[in-house]
Amino acid sequence: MKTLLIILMFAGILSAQTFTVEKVSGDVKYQNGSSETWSALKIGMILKDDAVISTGQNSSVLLKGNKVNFNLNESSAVSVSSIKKMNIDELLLALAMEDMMNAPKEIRKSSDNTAVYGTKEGESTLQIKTDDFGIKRLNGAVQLAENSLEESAVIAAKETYRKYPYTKNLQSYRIYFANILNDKGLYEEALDEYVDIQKLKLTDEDRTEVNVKTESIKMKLLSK
Amino acid sequence: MKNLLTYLFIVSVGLFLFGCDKPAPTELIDDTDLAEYEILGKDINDEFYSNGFDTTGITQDLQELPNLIAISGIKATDIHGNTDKFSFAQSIFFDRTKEILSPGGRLLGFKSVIPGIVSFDNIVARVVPFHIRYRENGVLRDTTLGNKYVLFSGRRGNMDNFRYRHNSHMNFHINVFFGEQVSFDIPTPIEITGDVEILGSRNQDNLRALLHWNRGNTHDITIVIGARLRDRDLIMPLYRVKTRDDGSLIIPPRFINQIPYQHFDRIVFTFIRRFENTINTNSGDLRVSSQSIHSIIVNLP
Amino acid sequence: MFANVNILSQSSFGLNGYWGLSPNFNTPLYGYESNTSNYSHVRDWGFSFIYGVEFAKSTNSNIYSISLSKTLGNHNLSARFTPGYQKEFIFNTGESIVLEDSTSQSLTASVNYKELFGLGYSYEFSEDFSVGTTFRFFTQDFFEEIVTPVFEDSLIFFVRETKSEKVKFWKGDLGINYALNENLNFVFSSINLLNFGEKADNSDFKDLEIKREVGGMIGVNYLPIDAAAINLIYETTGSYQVAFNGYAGNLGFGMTLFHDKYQDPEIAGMIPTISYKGEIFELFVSGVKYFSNRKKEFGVSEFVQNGIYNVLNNPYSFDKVLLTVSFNINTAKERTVKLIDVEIVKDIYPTFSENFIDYPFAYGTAVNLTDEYLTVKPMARIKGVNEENIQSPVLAIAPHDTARVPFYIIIPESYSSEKVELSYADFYLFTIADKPDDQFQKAVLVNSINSWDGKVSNLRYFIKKDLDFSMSHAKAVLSSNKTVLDTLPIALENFYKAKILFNEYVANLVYISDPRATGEYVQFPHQTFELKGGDCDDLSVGYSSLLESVGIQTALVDYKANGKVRHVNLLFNTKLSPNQAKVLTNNDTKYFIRESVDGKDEIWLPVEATSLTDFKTAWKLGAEKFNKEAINELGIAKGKVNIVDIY
Repeated sequence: MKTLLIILMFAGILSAQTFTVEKVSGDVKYQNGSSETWSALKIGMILKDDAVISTGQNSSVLLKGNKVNFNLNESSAVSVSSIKKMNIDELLLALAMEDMMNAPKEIRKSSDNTAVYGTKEGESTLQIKTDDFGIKRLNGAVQLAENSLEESAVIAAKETYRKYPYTKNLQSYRIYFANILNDKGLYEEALDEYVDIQKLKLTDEDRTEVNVKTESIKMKLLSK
Repeated sequence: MKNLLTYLFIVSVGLFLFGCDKPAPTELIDDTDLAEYEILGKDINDEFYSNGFDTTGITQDLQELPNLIAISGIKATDIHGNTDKFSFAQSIFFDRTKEILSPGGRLLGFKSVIPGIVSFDNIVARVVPFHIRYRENGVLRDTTLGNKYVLFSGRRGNMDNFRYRHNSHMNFHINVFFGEQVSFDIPTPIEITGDVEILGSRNQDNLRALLHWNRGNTHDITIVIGARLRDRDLIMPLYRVKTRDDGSLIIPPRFINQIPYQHFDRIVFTFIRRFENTINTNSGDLRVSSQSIHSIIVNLP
Repeated sequence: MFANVNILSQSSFGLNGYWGLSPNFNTPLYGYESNTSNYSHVRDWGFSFIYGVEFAKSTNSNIYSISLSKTLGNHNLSARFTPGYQKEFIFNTGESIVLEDSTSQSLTASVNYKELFGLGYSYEFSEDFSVGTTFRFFTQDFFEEIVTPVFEDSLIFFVRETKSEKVKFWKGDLGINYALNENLNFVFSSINLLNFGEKADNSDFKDLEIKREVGGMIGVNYLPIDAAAINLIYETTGSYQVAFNGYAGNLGFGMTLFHDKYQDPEIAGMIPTISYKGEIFELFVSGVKYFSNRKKEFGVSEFVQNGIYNVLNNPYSFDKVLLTVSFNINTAKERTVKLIDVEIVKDIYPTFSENFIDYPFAYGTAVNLTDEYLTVKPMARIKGVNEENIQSPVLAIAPHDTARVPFYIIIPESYSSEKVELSYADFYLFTIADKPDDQFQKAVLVNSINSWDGKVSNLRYFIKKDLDFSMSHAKAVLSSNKTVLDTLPIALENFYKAKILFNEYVANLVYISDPRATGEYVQFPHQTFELKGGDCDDLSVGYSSLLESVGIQTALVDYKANGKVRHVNLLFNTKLSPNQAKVLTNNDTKYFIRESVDGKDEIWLPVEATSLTDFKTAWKLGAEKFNKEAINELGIAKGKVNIVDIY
């Protein structure tokens, strides 16, 4: 296990890479690190790990990196750090991390803290106009998958579901990424997804597909 | 735990109070040398009493003297170890109705009378005056109480043909004037021969006398201890010791050391083995005494 | 007259018979006669007395002896009072005097030999070997009536005097007890080795004095089987004793035969004994029976010629019946459980008070010494920290079993030492009594209140301890910004509060990377405030405390060292839902979603507390680091980045 972690550590380090902008077509923007503003992406620019790129309609960009080249099509957004090949183990780690991020489920008794974390009233009264960045992120994730970076794709998708909750309801995307998990052999994780997807409003075709896949996984898990 | 200790304490106290008899002492019975001491001469200067003492070994309070018949076989050993032998017989009868008083009114004794002819072993006893000496108001006087019967043989004095026979019987006969004749035998004891050894030293305060004698046929013997007055040739009786006739006696330093050598220069130990009897007669008590005496004089260190 | 009377002080004759070094009974050991070396089994206090009846011409009873014994560790001290050890002889001196009235009076004399008391001391080198000594005190009361002629001037008269003298002396002896093995043991001791005291002045009495002939005594005790023992004791002065003891359960019986050089017949007498041993007391009933007629008349001359050699056992001694009772009193309670060792498993960080409530700080190894189940109550106490014992949960230990006992401790709120103290902890195990059955002490390092063990999860104690200060400070800051806050939508409250508080916070601080403020020392918020600075731990703790005090949920982010210095910053909960992110930022890499306890996704923002610039910068720096190390490099999954919630 230790050796594995060390390998992973190195893997992680090595997978941090920079990309050069090869081709730009149309409206392509980038945002660095924690900058609040989007700037136009030009050919020849070097993008670092902390950048996020976004394409408008009918736009695309081609990035060239050390190991990997990546083409982002229209109406998509992707973090440069996601453009990397992850192995299954890293994928599993990343999937597990989702849970680890959360606040601990058990609340400790006898807390001296007299402060109360309550839900504030009126939270829901704040209305924000939702934009489509979430969908863009999903699109970017799809393209990660199409570029053989399926593992990163799944992670990117999952992140997007969290940060853009409305994207969770987009069943086609959900099914797409669930299928990746299934194809990768991560049955339990895929099952969790399929089960969750079943709660969505689905077309009959989609539902059938999901059901079949669900049953099939269950069989596989039982026979283990 | 505390209860237990309290209980223990009470029990111990109880036992202490009730349990402590002193273990009975062991009383040992008298089977040792018994020596009975008696003071004789109470006052050195009182020669009154010297009357009662002479080599006859008789020291008696004249006032209480009963009628007396005494026969003695006597030996006297001097400083140099030379021994003389004597025999002595004496008989005194008192008329107790007749008191003899001193000029000062002191009762000296009773008149001694001659009631008849006395003979010992068929030898008639001589009648002689009964002299006494007494001291009154610091002055020495002589007087007689009457007469008495005497027989004596030995180097000094009259030589009667009277011999004391030890371990035998001798006869006493009195022909009372105008009266009856009384005759009886007087048994005589085994001859006593003594030995004196003075041990110790005056400086160490352990001057004592070791006395030995031949054991005889009496229960006790008497030893009279006297001392010779330094400037007078007069023996002063000091104590009389009555002891079992077992042949030896130690006179402890107490008795010897105390004798003041300023006054006395010699000690006399007189061993007396005596048969004595008191007969009641119409005319009063008659004491019959038969003794073997050995007197030894030694220097007083 | 009194010459040749020989009195020898005690040889080995004992009133209970000779039991050798009986392993079961304490009673015979109180007798200094056969136990000259003061050998003792008494574990704490021992008390014994002998009460007896002597069959003299009349019967009289006595307390012969009362003894007390105390054992302290390997030492034993004993004392014995012997009122009954005396023998008096009354006889006529052989002199009598003729009194004034012509009657004769015998002069008497008496001698009373007494042993008054004795003392003993012994030291046990090992179970098999001990050495000891006894000292005994005797008095001899001589009395004699004498008559002395006194020559005063010209008069002679007898004076009757009494001479008396009390001659006292001490007798001391040494002895050794040696056990060759379980069945065979020996005792070697001296007789009359040490004698000191007065001598009679009077020559008459000198001859009566107790002869002090030096000798030796050898005792052998052989147990061929558990239930029987054969004992032999031999004195070089010519006496000996042979004894046979048998044991059956709590009962014992013994028969001792003794030979005394100066008594007839060869075996002068016997001492049969029956004994009973209870839990705390022992009972002996013994009899001394002489094989010659003791009630006959004895003559003075024989006494004077032969004398006696022993106060208690001589040709004039009478038959006796004795009752001996001994008590073994343990004032110390029997130990039922033993605490063998204690291992302290936790360092004492006074600030981590809650830590100690749930986990024991030490484990003790306890052994149940009894045959029954034992319930023990563990207690512990640290000197300088606790005023009272802190009780840990009761536990049961099986008979003869060893158990691992957890000890808990509480650090009182009031503990405020800022210095690291080396103290010690006392651990106790109680069963029933109010005194502990066993205890153990161990040195313990009590860290200062600012001490920190380097675990970020424990930083929450520093945050929570100073909440009062932070609350008042935060509230003051917020109320001065009341107007701004009042205009805000409630949803944005947390965010703006955090911002205001941060800006206020850093305005007063200068960042110091103090070597002292390393992983072992953390400042309380009020200290950071007073000192106007601190390292990343201090600053994160301080800021987190401010936020927590006004109800903003925070978490510390622990960036574990990988060759570099470990770093800490924090996350706080804006309480905004992911949908509302746009209000905060255009950059979705600057915030992170965490699911709350009740299943709601909420936006948390990272803040780099050491950025003493402003909130915006701090947030930016925090976000960049978090994104890179925690998310992209899978730091959280790999355990290199740890989120520690404050609650």
